[in-house]
Amino acid sequence: MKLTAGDAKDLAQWFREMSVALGNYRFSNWNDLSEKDRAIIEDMEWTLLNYSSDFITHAVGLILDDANGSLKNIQQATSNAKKAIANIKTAKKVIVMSTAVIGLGAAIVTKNPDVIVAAIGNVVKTVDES
Amino acid sequence: MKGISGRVHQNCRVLISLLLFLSLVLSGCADLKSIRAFSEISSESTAYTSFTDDYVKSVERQKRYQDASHYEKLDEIIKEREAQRPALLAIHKGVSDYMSALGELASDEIISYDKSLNEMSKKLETIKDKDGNQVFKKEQIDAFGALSKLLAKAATDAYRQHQLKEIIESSNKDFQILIVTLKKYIEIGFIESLNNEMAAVDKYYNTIIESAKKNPPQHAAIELVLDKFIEKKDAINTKKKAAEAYLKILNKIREGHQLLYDKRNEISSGQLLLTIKGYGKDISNLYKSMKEFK
Repeated sequence: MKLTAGDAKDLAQWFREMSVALGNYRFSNWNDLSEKDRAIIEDMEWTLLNYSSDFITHAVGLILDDANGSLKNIQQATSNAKKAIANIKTAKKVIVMSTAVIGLGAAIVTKNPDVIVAAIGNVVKTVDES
Repeated sequence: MKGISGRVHQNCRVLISLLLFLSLVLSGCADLKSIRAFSEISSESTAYTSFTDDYVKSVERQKRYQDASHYEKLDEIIKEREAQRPALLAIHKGVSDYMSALGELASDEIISYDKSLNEMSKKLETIKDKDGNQVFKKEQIDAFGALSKLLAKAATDAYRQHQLKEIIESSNKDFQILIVTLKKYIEIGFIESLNNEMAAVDKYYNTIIESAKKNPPQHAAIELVLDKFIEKKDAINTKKKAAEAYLKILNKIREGHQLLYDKRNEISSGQLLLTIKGYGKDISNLYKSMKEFK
């Protein structure tokens, strides 16, 4: 049966609790234990605590594995949002240019060459500036 | 000349009426400031990666408390955690970039035509007939400018709202998964590592204190050790509080995006925007308080 992240977390907590319990035993019986026995028990405590850290690391690995697919999809969604932003920026340029052309249209109905030339100049400048 | 300016004015009236009609049939422009603010603070807070850096350092610090015989195992764990860093940072970045893009899409600057159409109006003022008279009256230019801006903004706003709705709809499920991933990582990876570090600190300093008790006079030394012990524990507790604040932030982000998804067909509704504004403020306050924990 495959270990889940939740299982790994539970194991990590169990190993830590065992380590702490052993440490409490060592401190409570300090004077009754020989220096050698205290050293052996302390060594076991660190081993148990390090197993706990190992299971935490394993749990994080399992969590990350589960997120791979979603990360790719969110990256795609971000790309779509950026495309939409780019489309809006392009549309803005088109709209501004169209407005310049409307100005040109209004000038053309005057059938006055000077007015038309000035309006054409407007459009060209707008296109250049975009 | 009278005939020419009369025709210009008549055509302007037709044009203005057309613009007015079109602006009325298009949807109203929505002020999505609160969605932008919520997205921006969410982006900033999910880009915070100090917990990920500390996830590895927590085990490095534990080496200090342990005998060299355990270093091989600890080095193995450190190496494995280092290997997980890029994936953890990728999730932070993925979520942060996504919220940043949503924020930009919701920003008013993107649909503002004030600058470009103001320039246009100025240029219309310079169009003169052969006698040097302005062809378009000021009130005609102002009306044309105002309606053009309204029309242009309404057109792009409709597209923008549609895109926001589509993107939120298609990404909500994966977004929720990623936020839950970050939450689980903080709870299991970071906070449990701090709990282990606390256990290590307890063992190390209590061992020193018990050993010192057997070798008097050590009272002053014990006091110094106790001070250091308390300092280390306080530092770990401070980090835990910061992590708990971050979990609240992630919850708010998750709830906010879920709400945007649930109400995606009414994305410009006043009630939704007000609630999202509240989420944005909560996240901002939590993020400020979290960064105060050092």
